[in-house]
This record gives sequence, C-alpha cells and structure tokens, in this order.
Amino acid sequence: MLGLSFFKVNGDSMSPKIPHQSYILVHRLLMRYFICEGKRLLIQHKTYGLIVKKVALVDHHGFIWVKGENRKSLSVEQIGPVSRKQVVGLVVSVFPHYESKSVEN
Amino acid sequence: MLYNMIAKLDKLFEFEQVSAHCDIPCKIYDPITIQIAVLSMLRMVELIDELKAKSNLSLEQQATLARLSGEKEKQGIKVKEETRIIWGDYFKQPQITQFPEIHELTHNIMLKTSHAKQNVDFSSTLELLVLVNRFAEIFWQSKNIATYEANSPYPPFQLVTYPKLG
Repeated sequence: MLGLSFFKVNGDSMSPKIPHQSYILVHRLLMRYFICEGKRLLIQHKTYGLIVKKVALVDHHGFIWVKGENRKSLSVEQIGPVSRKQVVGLVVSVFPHYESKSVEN
Repeated sequence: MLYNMIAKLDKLFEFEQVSAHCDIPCKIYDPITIQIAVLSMLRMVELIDELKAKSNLSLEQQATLARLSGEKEKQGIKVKEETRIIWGDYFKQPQITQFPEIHELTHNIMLKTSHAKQNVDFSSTLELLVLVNRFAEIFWQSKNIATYEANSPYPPFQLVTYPKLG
C-alpha cells in the first residue's frame, strides 16, 4: 500500500536501534531520493540475501557502502559496494522488540 | 503496544523476513581472547590490591578504583561470552566425544568467572586461569596442534597455555 511494507528483522547486527525480532516499515519508492549517510536501507545482497543495513557512505561512482549498527556486524568491506539497483527500499520506521534479559552474576 | 499490534498483523499476513545477521560461520575461533581477558582480570585485582593497602583514598584514587573494578567486570563478561561462543559454535559431536569433560569444564568456567567478578580474589581468579588454560589446551588438541606453557610476557606474568605453531 503506497509502496509501504512491513518486514520482520532477524539478527542482532542492527541492535540496539533495531533489535532482533523488531519490525521495520519500508518504503519502496522513496529510496532513490533519500540515499545518504546514516539512512537505513533494505538491500538484496548477492551473498547475504535480503538484509537491512545503514549507509556508511555513497562513493563518487554512486556505489553505496553499508554497515551494521554494532561491532558484531559484518564490516563495510565484507559487505562490499552495493549498487542502487540492489536497494529494495528505505526504512522509514522501526518498531523495536525489547526482551527482558537476565543480569549475569 | 504498537509492536504487539504489528506482531498480530504479522501472524495474519506473515511479513517477509529480513536478515541483520552478524553470526557468519567464519570458523575463526581462538581461546587466546579468553586467556587475555582472565589475565586482565588478574591484573585488575593486583592494581585494586595496591589501593587496598592505602588507609584513605583520594578522589583520584577512588576514580581509579571505579575504573579498575569496572574493567574487571567487563573482562569477566568477555570471558563468559567468548567461552560460550567457542563451546556453542566450535565444539560439535566429534570434539565432544573426544573431550567429554568440555561441558563440565565450560560450566565451571562460568561459575568461577562469576566468583571472580563478585570478589577481589587473586587466588580464585588464578584458578579461573587454570580452567581457561585447560579449555585452550582441549581446543588446540582437537585441532591436532600441540601446546606449551609459558609465563605471559607482561603483568601478571602467569602461566598461559599457547599453541605451538610453525
């Protein structure tokens, strides 16, 4: 509807902004106009499949370099450059899932 | 509340899943991170003990104490986390069959680390190092790599099990 879709996130690489099991609302049409550093994108990656990552930079060839939100994530270099054609959409809203966690002794 | 509403919609419409995986099976495991974390805990205990000898602590020394105990806590969490990763991700049935003590050893590392975090106890933390060294020895043996013991070339100069490489 209006290019908006919900997706469920699996994994912790975008935590704490997008914890495991969160929902994201993605706009499939807006992405071409709003790809810049700091934006979160849904990407169809050749190796890792459908992933959500944050834009680290857009280089002068127009390639997008993305990263996770924490140190456990794959690095920018491991993910490699992404073309605009691989971008599925722009994350416009996050509905985080917070779970209770035990404190370690 | 909004999350719960979306979760109900998810049950109805089954939203597409997207990965934010970080746990790529890269096969890079090395118990040295655990051993260095325990050495760091031992060093923190040594430095805290130096402060313990003083009758009154200045504001700066109190700040140092806070930093030292905070670091000891952080390294303790690292010991547990890294041990669990190797135990859970690296050790599979062939290694478990070869080293049946691994489950009990890992559990003992968890208990001993908790004790080392909760107390400022050098001898108890040293016992943790012995357990972690055994964990490292098993890890390298499972890869058919021989090990040797040597004192760490930096404080706290304690015995560490290293792999014989090259």
